[in-house]
Amino acid sequence: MNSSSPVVTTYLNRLESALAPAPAELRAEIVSGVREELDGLDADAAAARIGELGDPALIAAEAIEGLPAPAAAKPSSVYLGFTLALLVIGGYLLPFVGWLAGLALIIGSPVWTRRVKRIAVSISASAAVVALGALLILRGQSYGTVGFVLFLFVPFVVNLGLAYFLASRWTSAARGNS
Amino acid sequence: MATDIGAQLRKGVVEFCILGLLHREPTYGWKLSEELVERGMIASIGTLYPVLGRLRAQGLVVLSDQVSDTGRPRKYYSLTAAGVSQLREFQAQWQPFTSTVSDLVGREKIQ
Repeated sequence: MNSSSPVVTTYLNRLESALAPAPAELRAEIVSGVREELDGLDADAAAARIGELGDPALIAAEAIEGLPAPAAAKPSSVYLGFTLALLVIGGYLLPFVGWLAGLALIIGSPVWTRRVKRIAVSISASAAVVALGALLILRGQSYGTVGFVLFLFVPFVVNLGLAYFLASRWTSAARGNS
Repeated sequence: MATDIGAQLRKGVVEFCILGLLHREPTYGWKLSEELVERGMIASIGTLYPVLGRLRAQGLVVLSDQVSDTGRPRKYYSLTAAGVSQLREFQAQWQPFTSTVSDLVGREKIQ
């Protein structure tokens, strides 16, 4: 269910990000519990409720502090390395399929939040569309080589930037679990 | 650094306070949180959910989708038979326990 107020959406996004180090099930339960209270309220009522709730960072810190130690499993850096390698160069090693496998591993990871996954997948897919468009539009023209170069390099550069972004989000999650 | 005695005590009993509230009536997370925060038993809603998660994992509490009295769909927590039994056990031990502790630490206010 979507909240109508942008204040609510912003607050829920901040809460979800702050809860990134928490297990996915706990994160979903807290966000869903808060969302069901804020949904349908007008902006003033929602702001008042949000004021009662307090800073998402504090809520997340208390939730994580309350976890039993074994529940906070340390994320595997092998998974991270393999996922990012597939994202950046998978498509060159195994055309299309390698890149898709990278996206699948991003979506399947319990560490990144849904928001981070959404951002990563949509940006990477947009870069692929732009690259393919450049190749097809410029094919057979005098700028055909430019199209081919764009096709090769646009996804590489964009996915490299995304890899940096995903790695930083992973590190903050790992730090929260240590 | 001095130990926060209140925090230690709350940590030990908050699960049973939640069981007690749910024994009165099944309720949703926000309402539970409001009552416990107001009474100073938890700091925020963030403290509540890990405890609820543990209670569910132990089979003392279950979650179900219901419509609240304001007509909104909510996830309601309620006690299982094991939860009621656990609460009964706690009630039976709590009074003698507090009485013993009071005897040991002394009932007179220390000047």
